[in-house]
Amino acid sequence: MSFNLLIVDDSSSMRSVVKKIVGLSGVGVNQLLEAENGRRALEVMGGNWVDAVILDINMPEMNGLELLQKMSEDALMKNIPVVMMSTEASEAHMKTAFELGAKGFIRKPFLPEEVRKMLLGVLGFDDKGDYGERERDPGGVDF
Amino acid sequence: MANVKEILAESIFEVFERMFFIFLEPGSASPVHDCEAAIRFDGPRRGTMRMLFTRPVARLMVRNMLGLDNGAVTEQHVADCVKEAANMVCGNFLVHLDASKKFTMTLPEFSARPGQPPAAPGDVVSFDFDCDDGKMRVVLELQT
Repeated sequence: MSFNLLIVDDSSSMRSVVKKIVGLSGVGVNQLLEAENGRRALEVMGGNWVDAVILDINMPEMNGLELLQKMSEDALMKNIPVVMMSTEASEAHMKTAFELGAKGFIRKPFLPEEVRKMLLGVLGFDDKGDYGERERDPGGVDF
Repeated sequence: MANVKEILAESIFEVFERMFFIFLEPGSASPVHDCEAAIRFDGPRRGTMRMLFTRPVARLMVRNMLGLDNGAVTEQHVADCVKEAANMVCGNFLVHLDASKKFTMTLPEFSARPGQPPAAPGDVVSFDFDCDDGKMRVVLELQT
């Protein structure tokens, strides 16, 4: 089984890092889509099937919380699981994100293992859930 | 301020070790820095954080974060990486300062020609660091 994942972050460097981690995570990936802000993410989701979103908060044009709000108002997009990945990890920010429908929250700077665990969780697998497609190093991910 | 200084130092070390695989040591100030990222924050405390780098450190950050060879590092990579560093250090600092309060941060701004920090009407905390490849300075201005 493989998934279409959307990474939303205004930093192309951070998108590259997340892509690497996803590639090493054991999650089957059909397509890795990218967007540099919330507005662009809406366009990508409008034209592609997306199984899960990895979403930054602090972005220009439309930030992550504004995107969550837009997604919650859309009959199709509101069911796409979203993992927030942000430096802005105060209790207030996390509460707002979860109220708007986020399924997980990873604070930057993150460890690859944290991303893998969270991603597998929102896609409905446990942390061991490579569903037999490949062996993973139990010591962690080197990226 | 002692608490603020300690929290800031911990935030810097955590970000640089986790994201850039760089182990910093307290060091002497560099007379010149080659680039800078600055970010402002507002909330229960308001202020500005500036991170200044010599070019070799900034390029090392890119190489380590993205797994690139030195020849593949571009100026855009450098700008992107140092802005992300400022974003992460500032966010980390604010969470450790008070996770129960809501702070807002601006988008980080990059400059390839850092100037002298303006005099701030408040408290200033600064750190100078060394790593194998060069020097880095972090300046936190907290407004009163």
